[in-house]
Amino acid sequence: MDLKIAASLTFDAIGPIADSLQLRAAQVVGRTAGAIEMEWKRAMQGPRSGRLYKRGRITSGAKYLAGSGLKSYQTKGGNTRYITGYKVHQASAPGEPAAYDYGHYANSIQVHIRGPLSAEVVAGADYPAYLEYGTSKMAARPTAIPAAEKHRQAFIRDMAAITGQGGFSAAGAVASAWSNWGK
Amino acid sequence: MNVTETALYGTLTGGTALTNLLAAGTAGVYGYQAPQGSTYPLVEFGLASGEDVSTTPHREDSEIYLVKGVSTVSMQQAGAIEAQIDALLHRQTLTVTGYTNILTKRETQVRYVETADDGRQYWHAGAHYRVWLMI
Repeated sequence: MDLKIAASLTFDAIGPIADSLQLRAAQVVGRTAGAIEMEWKRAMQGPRSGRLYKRGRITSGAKYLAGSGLKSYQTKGGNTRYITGYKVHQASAPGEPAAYDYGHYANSIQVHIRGPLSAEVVAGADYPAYLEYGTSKMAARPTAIPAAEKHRQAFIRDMAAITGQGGFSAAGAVASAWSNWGK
Repeated sequence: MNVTETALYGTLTGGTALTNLLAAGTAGVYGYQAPQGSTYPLVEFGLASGEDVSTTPHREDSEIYLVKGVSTVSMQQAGAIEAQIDALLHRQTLTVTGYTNILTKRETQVRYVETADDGRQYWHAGAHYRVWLMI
């Protein structure tokens, strides 16, 4: 009789570990994309120091304004409206983030989930890239790149914490949303 | 110009293969925006983002610059300028006063066509370059 004694070692948790890793990495991708979207939109708020543009009249129908010297006009209903002022939009100066105006640009910024571990933050309007990169008549107003950069380090750190590696680059993933525009 | 911009300007204007492609030669490199009436093709560069990324007692800055060639002729001409910019910057060491340049590398390519109000077209070709500095 062949008598044997052995210690048997089997590790059968690779599948669950991989599933857990993918889930946690997907959460970081989604969370980071959402944070970039919020940062991008937030950057468009607040005061700017560029040119001023009129954005429609501020009017009043108050009777006491009659004889005040304010310009007035008749509505279709025959009422008199007095122009008490104008709404003003102050645009961004060169180098400042693009300024919120009518909201087309800001409202077009969305996160697109491209896959389990892939997301893009995209401005769907057709002119943000001109603001971001500049034109022959206008210096660039970087808005998207600073928003992504703000979250780059945290993204790398979070992914490194999940994978246990500190040295991989996540720059491409973070910055790819707008890199293919206009080719 | 800040010290990084001064270094970039010096590197770009010092590249003969690049400036030979520009209408104004070494005078055809502009920070942020070329003045109206400039002759094309030309080069424009400007800061797109700057972050303090210090993880040690040393100060570390990670800056991103958009550097691009602009042509009124074709994307091919702008692309030729872009290639020379790349040769001067990608994985080259910038001499930035007061800092050590840890890394300069090309990240995302930027190419687009702009049609001005007068119908004139401008082809822009360049890239974002990450400039990593440490004191």
